[in-house]
Amino acid sequence: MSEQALPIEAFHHHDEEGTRLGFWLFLFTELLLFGAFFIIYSVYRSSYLGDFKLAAESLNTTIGTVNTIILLSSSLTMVLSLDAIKRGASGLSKTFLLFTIALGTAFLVIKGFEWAAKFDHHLFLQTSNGIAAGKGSPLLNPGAEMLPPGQVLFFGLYFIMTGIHALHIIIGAVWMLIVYAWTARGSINKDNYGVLERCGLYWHLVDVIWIFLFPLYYLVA
Amino acid sequence: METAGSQSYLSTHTSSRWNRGLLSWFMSTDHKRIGIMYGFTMFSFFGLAVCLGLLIKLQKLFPGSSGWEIIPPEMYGATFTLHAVIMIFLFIIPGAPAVLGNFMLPLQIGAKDVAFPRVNLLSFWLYCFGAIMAVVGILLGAADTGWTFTPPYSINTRSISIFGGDFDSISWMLTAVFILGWGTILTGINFIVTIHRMRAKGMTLFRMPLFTWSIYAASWIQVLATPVVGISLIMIVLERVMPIGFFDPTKGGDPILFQHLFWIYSHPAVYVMILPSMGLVSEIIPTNSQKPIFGYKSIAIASCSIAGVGYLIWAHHMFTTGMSDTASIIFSFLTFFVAIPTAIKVFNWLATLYKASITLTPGMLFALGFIFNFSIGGLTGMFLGSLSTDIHLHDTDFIVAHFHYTMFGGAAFGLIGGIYHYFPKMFGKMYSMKWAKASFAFMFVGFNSLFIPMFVLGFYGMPRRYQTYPDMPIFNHFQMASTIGSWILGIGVVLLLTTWIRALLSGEKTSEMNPWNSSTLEWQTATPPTLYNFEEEVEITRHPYDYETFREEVKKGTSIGATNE
Amino acid sequence: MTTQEQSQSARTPIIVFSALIFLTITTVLLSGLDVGDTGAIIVAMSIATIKALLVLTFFMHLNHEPLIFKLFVALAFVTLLTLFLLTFSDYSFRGM
Ligand code: HEM
Ligand SMILES: [Cu+2]
Repeated sequence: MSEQALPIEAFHHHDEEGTRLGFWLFLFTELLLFGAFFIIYSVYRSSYLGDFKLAAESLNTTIGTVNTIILLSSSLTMVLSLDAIKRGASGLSKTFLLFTIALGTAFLVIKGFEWAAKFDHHLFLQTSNGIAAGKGSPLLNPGAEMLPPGQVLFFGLYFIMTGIHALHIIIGAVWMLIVYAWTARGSINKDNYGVLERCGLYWHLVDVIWIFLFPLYYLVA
Repeated sequence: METAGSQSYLSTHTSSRWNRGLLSWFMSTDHKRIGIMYGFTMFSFFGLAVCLGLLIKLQKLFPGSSGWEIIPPEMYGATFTLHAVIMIFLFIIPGAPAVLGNFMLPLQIGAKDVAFPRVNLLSFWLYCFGAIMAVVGILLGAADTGWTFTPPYSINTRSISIFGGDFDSISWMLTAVFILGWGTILTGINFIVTIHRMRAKGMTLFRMPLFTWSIYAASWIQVLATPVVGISLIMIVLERVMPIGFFDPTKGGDPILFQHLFWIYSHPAVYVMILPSMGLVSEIIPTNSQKPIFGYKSIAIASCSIAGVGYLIWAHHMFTTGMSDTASIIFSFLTFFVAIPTAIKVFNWLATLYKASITLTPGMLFALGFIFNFSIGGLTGMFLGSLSTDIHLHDTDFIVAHFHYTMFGGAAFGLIGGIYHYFPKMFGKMYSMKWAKASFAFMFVGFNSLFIPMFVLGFYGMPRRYQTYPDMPIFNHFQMASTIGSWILGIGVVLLLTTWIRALLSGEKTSEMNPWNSSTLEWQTATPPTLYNFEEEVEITRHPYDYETFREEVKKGTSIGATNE
Repeated sequence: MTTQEQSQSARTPIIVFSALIFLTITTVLLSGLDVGDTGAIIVAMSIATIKALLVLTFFMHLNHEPLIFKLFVALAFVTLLTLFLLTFSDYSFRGM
C-alpha cells in the first residue's frame, strides 16, 4: 500500500454548478415534505370547511402579516449579503448576514408569543372528546372547553406545520452563524462563496413555504 | 508513474487517516467500496429475512387444527412484519442502486467517483443507523403492524415488549424508516448530479448504458417521493406520543388519507426496486448475445416514462378502502398505462435474443429468469389493477404471490444476476460456474413452486397475514406444495450465498479485463478497477452497444482499455 | 467600490422586495372581500404563487441558472400539483 495515498477529494475538481444542482434537488425534498402537509391541510379543509374557518378566526392576521414582512425582509438582506460577498465586500456581507439572523430570530420570538397565547387558550393538543390517545398526556387540560374535530385538526396542523417551519428557521439561523464565522475567518470570500449561496437558497425556500402557509392559516377565515 | 490512483481500489484506501482494516472501508468515500459495503450488509439482511420467510411457510405446512404450531398466533404478525420490513427497507429499496449503482455508475459513464463522495458515505451510515434501529425496534417490541403501518391500528396498538415494560417499538421502526429514507434520498441526489455533471467526454445522454438510464429514472423517484412518506410516518409517531389525531377517525382524522400518502411513495418505490434490475437485464442480455440491444432509445425512454406513470397510479392499492368510486376508476384506468412501457422493454429484450448466439452465464440465467418471473408478476398485476377482480383478490395470498413475483422473482433476481455478471470485475475473482448455475436452478424452481400455489390459494380465498387456515383439501394441498417449494428455494439461497463466499475466499484470481466481452465502458478498465477507475481521460466515440465497432476496435487494439491488457 | 456600483446591484432585489411587500398587503386587504370560499382560496393562492415565483426567480437566481435548473424546478412543482389533483380525485367525489 502506497504511503502517500491521496484522499479522494484530491483528484476532484470542484464543481460549483453541480453542487448547486444537488442542493436544488435537496430543496425539492423539502418542498415535497411540506407538500404532503399542504395536501393534508387541503383535504381536511375541504371536509371541515366551517370548522377551519372558525378556527382560523382565532389567529391574529396582524401578527401573521408582520411576520410575513419580517421574513420577506430577511430574504432581502440575505440576497444583499450574497451580493456583497460577490463584490468582495465581506464586511458588508457579514452585516447583512447579522440582519438576516436578527430578522429570523424576531420571527421566531413573535411566533413564540403567538404559540404561547394558543397554549393558554388550551387550543393545543385537544381531542374532540377530551380523551388523550393512549397514555394520558400532561399537556391535556381536562378543564378546557371541547372543540369539534375539525378545529382540533386545524390546530394540530397549525402547530405541526408552523412548528416544522420554525425548526427550519432555527436550522437556517444556525447555518448562518457558521457562515458568518467562516466569512470572518476568510474561508468564505469573493472567489469562494458557495456555502453562503446555498445557505441563501435554503433560507429563501423556507420563505417560499411561509408564503403559502401565511394565507392558508391567517387569511382564509 | 505508479500513483495510488493506479492501484487496485481493493489495496488502496482513499483516506490516509483511516487506512487499516475495517475502518479503511467504513470511512472510505470510494464509490466502489461503498457499493460493496452495501452489498454485504444488504445480503446479510436478505439471508436473515429469508429464514423468517421459510419460518412463515413452515407454519403453514399443516392447518392449525392439526395442532401444528411453529409460530404462535400472537407472534405471527411480528414475524411477517420483521420479514417484510427487512426485505423492503433494508434489502430491496436500497437494492441494485446501492450495490451496483454505486459501483458501476461512475464506471459506466467514465467518471472518477460520484458527485458527492462524502455524502455518499453519509448515505451508507444513515442506512446502517436506520437498519440497526429498525431491527432493534422490532426485536425488542415485536411490532406487528406490517410494513405498511396502516392507521388507526399503528396509532393505537401498544406493542408487546419482549423484556417487559413500555417499549414503543412502532415509533422506533417509523423513525428508522424515516432515517433510511434520507439515506436513499441522498443517494438519489448524488446519482442525478453525477449523471448530469460527470459524464466523460463524448458520453452523450443517449450514449449512456441502460443501467445508468434506469438508475437515473429511479433516482428521481427517490428524490421526489420519499419525503412524502417520510413526513407521514413522522406524523404517526407524533400521534402516538401526543394526543393529536391526524389519521385517527375517533378524532376526526381520515385513515385513508394516510394510505394515500403512504402509497404516493410506496407505489413509485416498486419502480425504484424494479427499474435498476431492468437496467441490469438490459446490460446482461446484449453482452451474452454479443449484439446491440434492440430498441436502445425506446428502453431508455421507457425507463423514464415508467417512473413518470408510476406516480399516477398509487391508489390502485386502495380500491377496497372506501375511497370514492371516481378515484377508483381513474386509478384503475391509469394503472394499465404502465403496462405499455413495461411491455416495450420485454419485447425489446426478446428481440435482442432472437437469432443471437447466446451464452448461458449465471448472470444470463438470472436475467432470463427475471423476464419469466417478471412477466408473471406484471400480468397478475393487471388482475389486481382491474376494479372488480381486485375486490375478490385483495388481501389474499394472490397478492402476496404477485408482489413476490415482482420484487423477488423480478427485482431480486435481476440484482443477483447483475452481481454474478459483475462479480469478476468487482473482485478480480471468479466463482464456480457449476455452483452458480446450480444456485440458479434451485432458486428458479423453488421460487416458482413456492409462489404459484399461492396464486391458487389466494384465488380460493386464503387471506394474507393469517397464521392458519381451515382444514380443507384445497388449502392443505396447495399450502404443502408451497411450503415444499420454499425448501427448494431455501437450498437455492444457501447455494447462492456460499457460491459468493467461496469465490471471495478461495475463488480463482483473474485480472482479465472483460471476461464476457462486453462493449460497455465499465468493462474497458483494469480488473479489479483502480482507485481512479480509468488511467487516462476517456473519450467516448461510439454507441454503448455497438458490437461491430467494438470488435473492430479490439482487433485493432484501439478500444479504450486496450492499454491495460 | 463606489456607492454607485453598490446601489446598482442592489436595485433588482429592492424592486422585487417592494413587489413582495405590495403583494402581501394586497392579499391581506383582499381577504376582507367577500368572494366566497373558493374565490378567497383562488385569490390567496394565486397571489402566493406569484410571490413564490418572484422569490424563486430573483432571490434564488433561477433567472441566471442554466435551463436544466428551471426544468427541474418545474418538474418538482408539476409533481406536487399532480399529487394534489389525484388525491382530490378521491376527496372531491366522496359519498357520491
Ligand atoms: C425465501 C424467500 C421468501 C419467502 C419464503 C417468503 C414468504 C413470505 C410469505 C409466506 C409471506 C406472507 C405472509 C402472510 O401474509 O401471512 C410473505 C410476505 C411478504 N414478503 Fe416474503 N418471502 C420471501 C422473500 C421475500 C423477498 C425477497 C421480499 C422482498 C424483496 C419479500 C417481501 C415480502 C413482503 C413485503 C411481505 C408482506 C408482509 C405483509 O403482509 O406486511 N419476501 N413472504
Ligand atoms: Cu402499486
